[in-house]
Amino acid sequence: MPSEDERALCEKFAGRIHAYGLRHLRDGTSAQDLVQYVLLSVLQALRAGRVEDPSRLDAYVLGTCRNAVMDMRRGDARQRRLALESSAGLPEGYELSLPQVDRARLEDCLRQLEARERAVILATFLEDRDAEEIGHTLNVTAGNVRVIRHRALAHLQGCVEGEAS
Amino acid sequence: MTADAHPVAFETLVAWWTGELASDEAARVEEHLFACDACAGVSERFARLAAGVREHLPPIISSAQRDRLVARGTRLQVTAVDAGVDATAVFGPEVDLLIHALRADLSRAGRVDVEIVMQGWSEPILCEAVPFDAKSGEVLVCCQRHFQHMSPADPLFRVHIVESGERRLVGDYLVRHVWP
Repeated sequence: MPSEDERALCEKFAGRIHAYGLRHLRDGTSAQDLVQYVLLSVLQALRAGRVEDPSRLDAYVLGTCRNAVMDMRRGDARQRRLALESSAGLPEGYELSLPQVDRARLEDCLRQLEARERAVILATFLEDRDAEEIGHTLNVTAGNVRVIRHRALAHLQGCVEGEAS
Repeated sequence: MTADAHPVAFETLVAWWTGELASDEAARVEEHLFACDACAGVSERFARLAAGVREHLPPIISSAQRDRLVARGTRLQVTAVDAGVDATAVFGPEVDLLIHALRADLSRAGRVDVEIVMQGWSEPILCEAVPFDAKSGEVLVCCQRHFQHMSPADPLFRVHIVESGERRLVGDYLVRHVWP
């Protein structure tokens, strides 16, 4: 596979793997490790002709993510890091870049939310509480919590990404 | 809209993130997010936001969050504060975060709200349903270094508790901050 094709593959899938990692591993550093590991694994499989149907590469990448996350949850992170260190690198000229949210702006935007919206967002993402639990605390139904959460996240995303509030 | 419809609805994306989808639905959403460029872009933007919120330190934290910070090597200085009694906390260079432990009898509290009154601000910051430790009777205020420039004077923390549906004021807590 030409190196420009490998770079294009990395650019296409890095963000998807990162989002998957953030969702399942709930930790930025682990998600970044996952990106590196999965990209290298997929490239190695392609180079060795081990991908049966390259037209369904997305499914292969997802499968690799799922297996890697299961391994990482079992505590195989150290072995994975050692494997990364000894494996061939990412394609020449490709630099892994995973954009992050502007923290100061996020803080401003969180402050602009209504108190109840902010409470729901923080309970969801910081305390990992579900809609039922949050609803019990705030004396509203779980359905209401989902509506508040959905509206608050839409506001927050618009604010963080610079839409007029 | 079903979980694997295109485009993936924002509600579905949120439900996937919060673990509220059945496992087969979640699997279908994931397959779509890996195959569809447009939905992958939406998912990546949402992931950045969710990760940012997850790493955000709110003004009031739980004791579990405090313990996680300690486990990560964050250097905390904890100051116990009682209502109506001024306390002092020094934000020295050897400290990453100040924790003000506002103490009260919270044994019957169903919920705790904290208003942060900042001089020069038109309204207090209202933090509803904040984490609290009923057993130790503490609400933990997490003071970060960049708060120094948010107000010309020390903020006042006004604590309310809700007991049996009734909301009442517990007291005002003042911490004098020293920024060497």
